[in-house]
Amino acid sequence: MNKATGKLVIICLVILLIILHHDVWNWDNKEPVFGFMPMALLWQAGISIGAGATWFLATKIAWPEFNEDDADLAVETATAQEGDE
Amino acid sequence: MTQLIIIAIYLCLLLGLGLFSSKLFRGTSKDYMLASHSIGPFMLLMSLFGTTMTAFALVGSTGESFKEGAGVYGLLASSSGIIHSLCFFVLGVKLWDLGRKYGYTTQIQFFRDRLESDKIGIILFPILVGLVIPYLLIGVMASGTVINSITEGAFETTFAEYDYGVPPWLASLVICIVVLVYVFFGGMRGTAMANTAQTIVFMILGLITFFIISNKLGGLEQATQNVLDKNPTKMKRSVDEQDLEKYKLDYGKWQTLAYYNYAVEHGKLKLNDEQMKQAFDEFKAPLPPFLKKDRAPATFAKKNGLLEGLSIREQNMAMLAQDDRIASNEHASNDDSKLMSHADLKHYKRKPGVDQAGLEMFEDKIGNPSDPTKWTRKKARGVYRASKWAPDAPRGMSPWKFLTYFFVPLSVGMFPHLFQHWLTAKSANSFKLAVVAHPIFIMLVWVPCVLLGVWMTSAVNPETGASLIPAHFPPNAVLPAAVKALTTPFVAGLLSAGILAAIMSSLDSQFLCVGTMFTTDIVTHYSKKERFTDQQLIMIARAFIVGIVALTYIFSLFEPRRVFTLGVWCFSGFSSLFPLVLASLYWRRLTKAGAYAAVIGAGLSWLYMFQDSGFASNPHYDVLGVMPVTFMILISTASMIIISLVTKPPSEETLSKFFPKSKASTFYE
Repeated sequence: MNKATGKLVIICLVILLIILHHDVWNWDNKEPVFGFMPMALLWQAGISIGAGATWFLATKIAWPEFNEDDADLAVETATAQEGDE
Repeated sequence: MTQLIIIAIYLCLLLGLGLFSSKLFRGTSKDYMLASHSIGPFMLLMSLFGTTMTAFALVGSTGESFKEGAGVYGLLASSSGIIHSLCFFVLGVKLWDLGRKYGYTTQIQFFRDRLESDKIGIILFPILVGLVIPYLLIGVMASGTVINSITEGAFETTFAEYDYGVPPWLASLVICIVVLVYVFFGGMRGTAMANTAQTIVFMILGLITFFIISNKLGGLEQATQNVLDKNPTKMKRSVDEQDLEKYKLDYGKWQTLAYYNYAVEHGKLKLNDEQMKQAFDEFKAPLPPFLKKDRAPATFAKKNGLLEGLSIREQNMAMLAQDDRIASNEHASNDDSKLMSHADLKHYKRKPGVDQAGLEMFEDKIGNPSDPTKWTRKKARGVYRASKWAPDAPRGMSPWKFLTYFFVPLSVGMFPHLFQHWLTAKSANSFKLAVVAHPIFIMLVWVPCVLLGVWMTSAVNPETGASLIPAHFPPNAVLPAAVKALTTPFVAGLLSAGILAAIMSSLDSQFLCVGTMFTTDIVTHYSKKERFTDQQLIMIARAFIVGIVALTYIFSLFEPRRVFTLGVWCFSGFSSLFPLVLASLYWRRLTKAGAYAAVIGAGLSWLYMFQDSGFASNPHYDVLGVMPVTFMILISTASMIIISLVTKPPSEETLSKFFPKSKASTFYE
């Protein structure tokens, strides 16, 4: 999968999460799930897990490309600057 | 006293960590402010998470769910899981890249470059620092409340007016000093290390607290069943019929009490001895004597039609007096023909000093809480309010407010302390763990806190069977009160250390950040090159931090606000600036004038609405049924776009600097 497709997949998943977050269908539900968990809380906890999964996928298929050598160079430059200071 | 000793040991350990990290300090301002860009994935995750999860997440979420129910999680926690990581991903990584390329330490340096405007710093600096102050205030205020609540009864005779515990003003002061010391010694490296350690501490201790308390309440299922039986509205986001019926009944009884007290006080009614005896004989409700003494005769008077002579105006005045509200002249002239509703009543201000009346009423019951028969002053105030004031109407959540709460977590994109943390990253890949784990960590912290808050609405003391926390109890004190009531002193001490860890892990980053902003954006920027040595700059940063902390501390001494409400106002202010940072990274057409318009629009709309809400004193404030942040973002975005489109675009040089046509940047554009 190329980065552009990956990016599109992530955008779609984020929009889906935002829609699912607004769970008006659970508004009147007071019955606990597993005997103790309010549905209003469980559903939203599920959204958090969904968000974690989406972001995991984002790091795999849509992570921006950086030259990590540049990053090492930046650290070295910062260290060198401190040496000069 | 055990709790106090444990908290003191924890604070000493933290100071030790600060001293240890100072040994790793390289002595330069860059190391002090950015830890020389050396923070790896795990520490970046822990410090970013520890920084964003403040008193708001523990003390605030528990108190808010105590008042508003289980829906509180959806208001901010789940949306933050989506939005925070989105900001790390879309803004954080890119700002980190620009920061390492062009040597930025603060947001203002970036905006000055991107907008080709030196003066943008002059208006952004006070706004950013001004918004950080309420954020600091949340932590400073909550630390005082937590330590005071948890140490109640620690002293035998001193601090009687603070329930024989450490006074909140002293506790807040100590916390400020401890955080200042380890920030001063360790700089960003010390802060990141302390944040990592403290985040681990508060997550582990938080989960332990949750299981200890749920066991004490009879297990997970029993704790929830109590809520279903007594306060079912707290389990959902609409008002439950059972609660509504109960409220109508209670409100009717309260009106009767108000009319009776008014009639007696104004000489319109006096029951004789025989009527009094009959009233008490007929009153069967199992209430304590202090409640029976006026409820029994009030019920009798109502039943026998003795209150029917009161005019509508007198009934309105009776309700205002019973609810400790000031009857204005405006009311006296206009509302004589209509009986006020509960909502109408709330438009009248409460009388000043009403808590004092509560303390006087229960003077003989108040004492050192180490004696189980004595009440704390907090309890006396809570019982006074619960027994005198009108019962709280059950309240659902508006779907529109719920929807527009989604804008609040956008604040993360403009938090100056997070910007600084982003720049500490060793590489772009260091962000990956933070992006993925942040929503899960939020869930691990918020779910137990929200459940605890919901359970506390209906929890009873396992030994006495009495309600554990009265309905009008201060929301900020719900978590420490639950911890103190349901755990042993040793465990309560450990758990308080965990709560303080969460608070301090945010305060430290914010302290460091305001100092960095002042030296970088004001002192260094406006002074001649090399006028100050590195050591002098560090000293100037420290002096400014002390000044801001002192100012915040003074604010914390005024009337406290709900942590959650104050937090939402602070975040809303930062969110209103989100369009600016997004546009500066992704919209080539953003101009200097457009940015000024966005900042001014955001600042003025925030100020206007904040004062309109009574400076956060109204926790249910909205604008046309939606969260005020919606309009702040609309105003700043519209001003930014319109003004940018009619003013001269940025120079080609700036555009090629920030929007290069390289492989790495194509992802973003």
